Amino acid sequence: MTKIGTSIPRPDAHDKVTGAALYPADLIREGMLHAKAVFAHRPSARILRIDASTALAMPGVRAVLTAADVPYNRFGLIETDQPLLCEDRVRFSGDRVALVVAQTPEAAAAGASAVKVEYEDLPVLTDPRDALEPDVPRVHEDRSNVLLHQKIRKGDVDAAFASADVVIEGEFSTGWQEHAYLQPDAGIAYWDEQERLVLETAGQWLHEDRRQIAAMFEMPEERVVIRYAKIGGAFGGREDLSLPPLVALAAWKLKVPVAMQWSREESIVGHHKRHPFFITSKWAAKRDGTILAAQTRLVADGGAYASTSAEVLKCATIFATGPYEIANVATDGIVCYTNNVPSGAFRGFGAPQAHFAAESMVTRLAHALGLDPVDVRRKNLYREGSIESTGLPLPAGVGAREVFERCLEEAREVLPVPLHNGAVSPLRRGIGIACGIKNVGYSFGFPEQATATVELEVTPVSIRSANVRIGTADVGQGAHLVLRQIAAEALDLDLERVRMITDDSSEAPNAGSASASRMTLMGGRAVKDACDQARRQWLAGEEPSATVQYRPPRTTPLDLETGEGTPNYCYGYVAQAAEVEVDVRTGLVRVVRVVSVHDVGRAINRRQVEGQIEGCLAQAIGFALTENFICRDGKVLTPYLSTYLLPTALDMPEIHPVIVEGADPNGPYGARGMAEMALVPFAGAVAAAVHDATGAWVSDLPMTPERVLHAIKESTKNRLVTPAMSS
Amino acid sequence: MKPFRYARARDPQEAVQMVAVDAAASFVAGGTTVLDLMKDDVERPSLLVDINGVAGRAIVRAGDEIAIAALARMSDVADDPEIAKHAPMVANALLQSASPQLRNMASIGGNLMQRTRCSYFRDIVAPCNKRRRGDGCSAIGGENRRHAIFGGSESCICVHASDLAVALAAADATIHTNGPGGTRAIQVSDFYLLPRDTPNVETALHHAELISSVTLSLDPALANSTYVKVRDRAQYEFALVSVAAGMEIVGGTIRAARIALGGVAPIPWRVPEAEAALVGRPATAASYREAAEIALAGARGCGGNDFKVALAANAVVRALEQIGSAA
Ligand SMILES: Cc1cc2nc3c(=O)[nH]c(=O)nc-3n(C[C@H](O)[C@H](O)[C@H](O)COP(=O)(O)OP(=O)(O)OC[C@H]3O[C@@H](n4cnc5c(N)ncnc54)[C@H](O)[C@@H]3O)c2cc1C
Ligand code: SF4
Repeated sequence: MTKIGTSIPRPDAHDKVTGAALYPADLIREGMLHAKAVFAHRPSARILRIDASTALAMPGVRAVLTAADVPYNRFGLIETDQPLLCEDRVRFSGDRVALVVAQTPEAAAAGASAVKVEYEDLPVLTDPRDALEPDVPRVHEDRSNVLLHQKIRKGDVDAAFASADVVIEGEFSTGWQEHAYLQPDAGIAYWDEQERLVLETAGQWLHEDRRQIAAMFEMPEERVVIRYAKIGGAFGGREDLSLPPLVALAAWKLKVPVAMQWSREESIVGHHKRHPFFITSKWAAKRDGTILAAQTRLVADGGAYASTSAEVLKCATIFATGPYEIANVATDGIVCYTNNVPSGAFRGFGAPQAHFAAESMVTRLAHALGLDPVDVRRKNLYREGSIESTGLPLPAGVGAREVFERCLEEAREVLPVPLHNGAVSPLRRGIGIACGIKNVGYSFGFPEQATATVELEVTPVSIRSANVRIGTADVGQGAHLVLRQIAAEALDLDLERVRMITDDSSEAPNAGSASASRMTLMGGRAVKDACDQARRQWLAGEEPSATVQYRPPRTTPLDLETGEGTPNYCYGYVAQAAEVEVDVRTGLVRVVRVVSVHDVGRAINRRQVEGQIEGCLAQAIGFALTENFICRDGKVLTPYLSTYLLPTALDMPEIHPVIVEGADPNGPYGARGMAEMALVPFAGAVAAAVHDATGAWVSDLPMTPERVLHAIKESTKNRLVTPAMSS
Repeated sequence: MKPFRYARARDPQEAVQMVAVDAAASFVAGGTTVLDLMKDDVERPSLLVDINGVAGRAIVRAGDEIAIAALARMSDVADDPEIAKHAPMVANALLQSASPQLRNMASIGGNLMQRTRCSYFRDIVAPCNKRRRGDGCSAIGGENRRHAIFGGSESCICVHASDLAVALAAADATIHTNGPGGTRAIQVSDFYLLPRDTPNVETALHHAELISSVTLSLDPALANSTYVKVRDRAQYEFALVSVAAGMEIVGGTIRAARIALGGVAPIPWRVPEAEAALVGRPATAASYREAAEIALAGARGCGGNDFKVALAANAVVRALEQIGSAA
């Protein structure tokens, strides 16, 4: 019986919805000490003095730790530019300056508010566009505020602009976005009997967490054990270490078990966000709809520390031209340090911001040419063998056209045409379409591998069961079930006979992070190859135990000046149609229906694929419409879920998820990743739909009522002053 | 959160006494607001006196009056058939407030006493005159998208957060109290105080004075009424602007009108000039638009909230249209 392509229910679902599943905060036991961080609450300052004497004299307080207690006080996923506890300088309001450890959470909190820190406030840099000016303060004294400036140069945009039939320009901006995972950061840490430092928490990559934490305490990696409890969502928000090294520090130093939890407010202030972008675009096309040139400048706010900014920026830079083959491209992607909350990985990883601008430009270009935006897309969409803006052909398996045509078909079925817009009703309906592309797996030469071990229990005539060891985070997406299904299929075993060993860095090999939509392809391939090898060993009468490292086709760094290189080994493709209702008197936009079509290679578990499309669209609604994260003068003003507005059930549209299966050449059974895709084109589809409904283009995200009203007012003004086109 | 004591009162007198003797004591009803404020360190009561046992949750109609006990839950009032029939703006305001779970816990008295959602007020390291008089107002010249276009002062430009209070202001409701000095009846219009230079003083209620009930006098303009709320997401969110409106229309002519705006001022904002302008006029779109313009005539944005002026005017028109066509 086939184990893949079916909707096998999640084994962890029941415990999660009944509350029986143990998340990190559920691991806290009687007798543990409790740690509480002292936050800076100011965006830029010099630390003059930290006085812990009052705190230390308080009942229950056992220790106040500072930078001096951290052997190597630097961490970061790409660059180690972030201190665990600030030494002499504070760079954003969520910086931590001390850690109070006490017998109870209350005593720790009281101790934390009694730690006196003397600061000298320094100038604050909050706009990444200002960061480029010569005389602005430096966020890191020893380096420029420009974290990375990545260029792409292909063909000759100026010549193309000169010869084009139409040239249009646009300006866009996008906001921060908070991951708002259900389970705020928490963990426990202790020394075990083998004198290993054990950290039980939630994360996205066991072995990378271990590497960074071992480095901070100058310990060999094998002496550090990372274990994941159940993880309440991640979305990129647990890629950077937030709370975990703090609780590890306390246990490492005091040699006793320590627990720590962040409140929602601490989590929102303390961990990174999606990058805000400012984008200026100039695109040109021929009368027949061929896009001739795209010139784009993207300036991203990286916040106080590097996080994954450089990688996000490079992704946004290559996706500045969307899924379109364009002969002449000039892109400048710039990401700067500021004194705002750090920006980093968030589902979509730069692609949603870049696509919002690119997809808006394609539709505007069609309108300027008097052509159907559908036809303009058909003319320019990537096809098998297309050359990317980075100069080389796309990896095989280009599904851009298939998902687009399928989306049009489905939209004809489910979206009402014509729309009934009464002349007097303030409610206007409109439809918009958009396309998207997003890499699966690591890009730009970042080392990419996944390792799995498969041990079989066999008889001479049959395989009885299997242990699958693979260090992977199930962040709620169902990775463990998918990997188990793949093993069951490869070994032709019942699912119950496959045991998964996944959540302990000392028990399972490194499969890389649960991010970049990569685990089904990468982890799945490692599991499948290890199963195949173990099976061959068994057939050959050898000990059936195989460890296989899967490495996908190589990628390369991009040339900084031209962008030349092989950015990725795999892409996912998506197309969407959205129907909106706009109240032109209040500016409120409601998404009524959305068709979301995905090329997933092969759906290992259909229900989980649909779950990812739906969940991703919830975050896409937030990104496009409701989630207005406010960081002003370096202060986060939306630290509560009562003021930071996640979409509710009533904000969700009717969703039509559609799965297209064009097998991936490398994925296990042809599967590729898809968990980020629905976010990629969505804001562009909504912007086009709002335009369809009202005649107004909204160019800033999120589309708050005042932005929509303003756009409608401007567009009416323009219509009044622009004489009718004659030719 | 600071440690605090908790005590349960058996009757109103005991509750009043327990709070009266301790200047830092507070009542707690549903706890949905006071606990948040304590968690964020904005309020630090030494003692919480639980009043859930002191009075009923009854909603009683007697002749042309409905009396709502202060401990009635928001959901009790929203679901009450008499309220829905005779004062729909009150039911609508409640149904569009908070979430079902909160409405099941939160009391009417607590709702009327809730504090502003100004983010600086809840951020204890930001200067805020409401938290500590004289510290300054971070919203003036700061982030003020959600702030007042009416009634603000040099010291505070926050908006009142309660939807119910807006409907009660439009309805000319009376708040009945029981305090150390005896009982009082206070009109909603006298209950909420403009910030002037004392934004820390928000209501006419004295320390230890307990709200016992709210009464509504029924009339045709209240019976033909609605509540329109404009907000950033579909539910579970405070108003950007809101309008409680009622009209008595006889033969196509407006006989009486009640209009109050929410989300625009530090107190529920009644607009008598706009009401007066409607009386005697035909129930038409032109009359509504004119009334909306009069209602917003004195409004002034402070940067981030300039859009609210047009938004509130449109919301007034929408509210009047709803009850104009229903009549
Ligand atoms: C996430 C969230 C969203 C919300 N959204 C909305 C919304 O959209 N619209 C809206 O209107 N409200 C909203 N609210 C506020 C909610 O309506 C209030 O929290 C609730 O009404 C308070 O009632 P309570 O009984 O829980 O008050 P408590 O928290 O018990 O008390 C609040 C205050 O009132 C005082 N108090 C209580 N009862 C009395 C009394 N009888 N006499 C004198 N003083 C008294 C207490 O001392 C305390 O100071 C929201 C709240 C939350 C948390
Ligand atoms: S508007 Fe009022 S509540 Fe807000 S910061 Fe100013 S004084 Fe404080």
